[in-house]
Amino acid sequence: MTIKSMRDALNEALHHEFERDPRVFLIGEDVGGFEKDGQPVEIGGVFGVSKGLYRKYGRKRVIDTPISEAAIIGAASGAALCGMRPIAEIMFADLTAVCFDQIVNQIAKFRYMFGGQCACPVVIRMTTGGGRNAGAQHSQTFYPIFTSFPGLKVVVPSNAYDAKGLLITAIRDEDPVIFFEPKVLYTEKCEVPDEAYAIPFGEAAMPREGEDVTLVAFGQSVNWAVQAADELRATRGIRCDVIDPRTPSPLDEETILESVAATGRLVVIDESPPRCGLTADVAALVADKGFRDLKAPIKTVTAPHTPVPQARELERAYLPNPRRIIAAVEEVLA
Amino acid sequence: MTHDGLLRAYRRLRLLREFEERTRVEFQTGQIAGFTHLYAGMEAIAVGVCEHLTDEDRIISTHRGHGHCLAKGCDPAAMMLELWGSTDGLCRGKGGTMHIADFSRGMLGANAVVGAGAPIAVGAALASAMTGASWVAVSFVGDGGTNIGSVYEAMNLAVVLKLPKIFVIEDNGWGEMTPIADVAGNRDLAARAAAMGMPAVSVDGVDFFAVHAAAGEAITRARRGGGPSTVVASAPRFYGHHEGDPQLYRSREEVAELRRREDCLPRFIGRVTAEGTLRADEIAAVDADIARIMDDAVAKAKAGPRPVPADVHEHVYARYR
Amino acid sequence: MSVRIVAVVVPKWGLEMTEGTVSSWLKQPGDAVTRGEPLIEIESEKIVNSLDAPADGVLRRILLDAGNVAAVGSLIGVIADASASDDDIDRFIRDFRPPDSGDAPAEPSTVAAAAPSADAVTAPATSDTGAVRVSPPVRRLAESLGVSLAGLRGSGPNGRILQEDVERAARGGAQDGAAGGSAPATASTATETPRLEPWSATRRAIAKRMQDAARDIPHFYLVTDVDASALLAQRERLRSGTEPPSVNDLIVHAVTRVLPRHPRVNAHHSDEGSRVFSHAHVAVAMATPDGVLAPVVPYADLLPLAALSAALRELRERVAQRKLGKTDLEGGSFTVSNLGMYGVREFTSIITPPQSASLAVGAVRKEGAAATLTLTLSCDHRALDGATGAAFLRDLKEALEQA
Repeated sequence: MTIKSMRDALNEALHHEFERDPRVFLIGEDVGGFEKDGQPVEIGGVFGVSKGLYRKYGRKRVIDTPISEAAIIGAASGAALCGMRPIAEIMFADLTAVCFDQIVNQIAKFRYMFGGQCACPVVIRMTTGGGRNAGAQHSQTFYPIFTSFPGLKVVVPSNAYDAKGLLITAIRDEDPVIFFEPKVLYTEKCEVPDEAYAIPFGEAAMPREGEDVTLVAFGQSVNWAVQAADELRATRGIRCDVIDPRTPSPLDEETILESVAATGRLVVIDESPPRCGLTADVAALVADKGFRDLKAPIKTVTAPHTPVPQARELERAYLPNPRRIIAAVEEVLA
Repeated sequence: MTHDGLLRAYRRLRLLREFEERTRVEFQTGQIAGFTHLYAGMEAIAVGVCEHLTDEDRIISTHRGHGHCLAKGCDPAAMMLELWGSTDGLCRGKGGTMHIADFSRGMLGANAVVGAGAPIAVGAALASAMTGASWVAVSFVGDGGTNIGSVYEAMNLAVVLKLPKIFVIEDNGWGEMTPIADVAGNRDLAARAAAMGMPAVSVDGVDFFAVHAAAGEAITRARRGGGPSTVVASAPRFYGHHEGDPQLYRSREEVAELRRREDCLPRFIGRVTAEGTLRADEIAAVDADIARIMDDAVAKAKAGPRPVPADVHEHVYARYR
Repeated sequence: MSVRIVAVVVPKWGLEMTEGTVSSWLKQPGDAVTRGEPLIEIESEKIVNSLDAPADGVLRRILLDAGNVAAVGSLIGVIADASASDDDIDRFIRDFRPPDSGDAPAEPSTVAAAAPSADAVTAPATSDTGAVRVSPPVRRLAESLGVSLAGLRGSGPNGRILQEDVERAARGGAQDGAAGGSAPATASTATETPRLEPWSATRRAIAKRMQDAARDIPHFYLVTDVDASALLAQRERLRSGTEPPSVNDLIVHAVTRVLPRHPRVNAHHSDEGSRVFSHAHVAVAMATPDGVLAPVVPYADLLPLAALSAALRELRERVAQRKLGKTDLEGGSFTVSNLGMYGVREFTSIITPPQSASLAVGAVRKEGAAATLTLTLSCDHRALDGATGAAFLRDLKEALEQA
């Protein structure tokens, strides 16, 4: 067990699985490297998540592609249909719009349309979220969108420990998994075991426990929720359950409903825009199955209904933050 | 080709034709739900290609997929059951005509999104290359599909990775209801494929033997690690884009003329009987057998077990929770 | 959808009952049950009683195994139509909310409700998770670490079991997660790690009562020796009868005749005053494996010796079969304990609140021709002075020596 960044934790997961299963391979843009003067030049991914793989396994298992998202994902899916375990990388979640058909019309539906004749065990990894001033087309979340498609599983880790365990589970899963890596969290560190371990899907983590308010958050919002919860406890004696579902699909409904049954108050936080998102999804779940436990209306903390702005002050105003979460908690307690 | 090979090829040609003719009749009674896109007229392309393929080779098709499915060796009764939506169908009634598939025969499905199959088949070819196998992957796409980006992405990737992949372009002159000349900047479809960096030929898709020869060359090249190639085959479709298409874009006389002049079956029969490689009685026997098989298939389809509402929830995931 | 699903909950037997322990299930999941037939043996404080099935159907789930305790009103089982699906049952369990029990600590001096065990036993964060909150992630963590939640004391509000409690337990630490101190779960000494024998509900109730009594009642003790020859002679005389009384029966009989003359000794203590009884409702201590019980013979002063003896015999039998009812232990005005059969010469008893006095009887000892036994009267000095107690004891001694 050592302190590792999320990037390194993910890298370890890839190395573990590459070693364990020869069918596992990586395909994407700039994931591997190339030969120069007979020597391998490793790129290891634009964020360095796949470093060491090209050097160790070469072109046979680490495939650099042209900028062809549809072909990348299509190739990954076809290989999966024929018994391989591909990990496809899309550099930014936003770019899945370019290969949307391959993900939602093809991969998500193969097993179902063909009456269970096949499996498509592909993992599609992508960076997600704002906080790096990357602009409107490189800062979106997209995980709410894929959550809405039956046939896909969706994973959004919020820390290095979860990232490694969830990626290992994703690679071993028989179903297609869309794996989101909040780019702003690549450098965040925590204790991560050195060995391989698998965190099951559909099980939320609960970084804080309390009796007064339930906070449900996704991705980097989990950290803001924890900060808000700690501040509320220290300054106002308000104690919150903070729930990180980790996998929007399948969603751990039990933990959310159990918490609201105890607290009666819910605030849902996510950096996605407000319409048709995970905050609305969780609110609807609780309004349906936990209505009689609620003591106050459900509050959500989201980005506004705008694209992601680029300038520092603007992006900071756009993203949720602990202060806004605290304000929402005060509202549900009022 | 050997005698047996020719006989088998004829069987397949006849099967494809009769299957589509029969589907058309049954569809008009309203028993088949949804759309259907008939392959009649294009049989020589599917059969010409698939006669080189084994169950291990993979193909992926378009919305007009019955022909490829049968040519790859799928059971006509199981296909009819699927068209009928029965749980005994190839896809347990979950796919229907546009998603008909049989993975045990390497048929990775008819696909209802134009151009989507090409990258998926590239993936199949990638799996073959990565495992050091000698099987190939073939994607079929219509002339209408040669204007969609994913097809060129797939071609480029197949070339760059030098994969055992064959792109078959079935040019029937119509992208849905619009003539190809109006929508293809470069009407020379083979040239478009060649421009992506692979060998590409154009053949007469009504001539089984021409298709068979060109396909054979492409497939052999792929098996030997020579990388991808494209075969463009032109043949008419005798029916509309889909059943129910009023075909305002061509007259009855045009279609009748096509059936007279551009029918691959009489073409095939003419050649083999002229060359003496197949006898008339053999051909007649095949016809009779196919007719029987089709009757049997439709009877099975009509009597097949129906799905129940609970089936909606099956096969979404291997395991969700 | 009209699938019938019925909750089986811990019943409230008596105003003071706040929790019950499942002694044994009389039916297993899958068994058909009919409304009114005995379903579970439930132990509350000192009594084991059977709970009848509240409805016809099939016992589908047992949520509280034998040996475990839960608060009154907690869901411990589910009866349903056979057609109910497991999902229906799961949903029912998940949605179940126990009614607000509104338990308040009982007034010890309330006569009608008073029982020797009348003290309010507040439901602690018990070792059963049916009453205590555990979030699903923490429960899963406990499973993966092999930590049993039963017996784990949570350090959260209302005894909630938190992640840190599970992690601590996994490290072999405290089962008592109370803030401030954590005594090790197994008091391992330098020599040996002793084996834990968990308290039964009965034992816990007794312990609490004894502790309260020892703390709250200013005891003083009066000791006298009694010439037992008359008692022994009386017993001899009656030996040939069908069910001859024991020496203790004779002593209790004498107590019942003397008590009504000493109201302050035959009373319940309260803050307002001494609640005196006109009749002797005598509680007689009887040993059980779980601990001492003292069932009451009401209006014992009205019973002739034979009837009193029979009543005591019947109570003894029921105690042995654990068939005492709640009312059997309620309403005693005075308690007699006898350890003579163990050869104990003399001992002091702790008064059972809200009684004001209690008698401890020693063994008959023969010294030559003489037979003597020692009586020790425990008195609540708030209600009784030495003289008052001594007067009773003098009259009792007289009664015993004249029998």
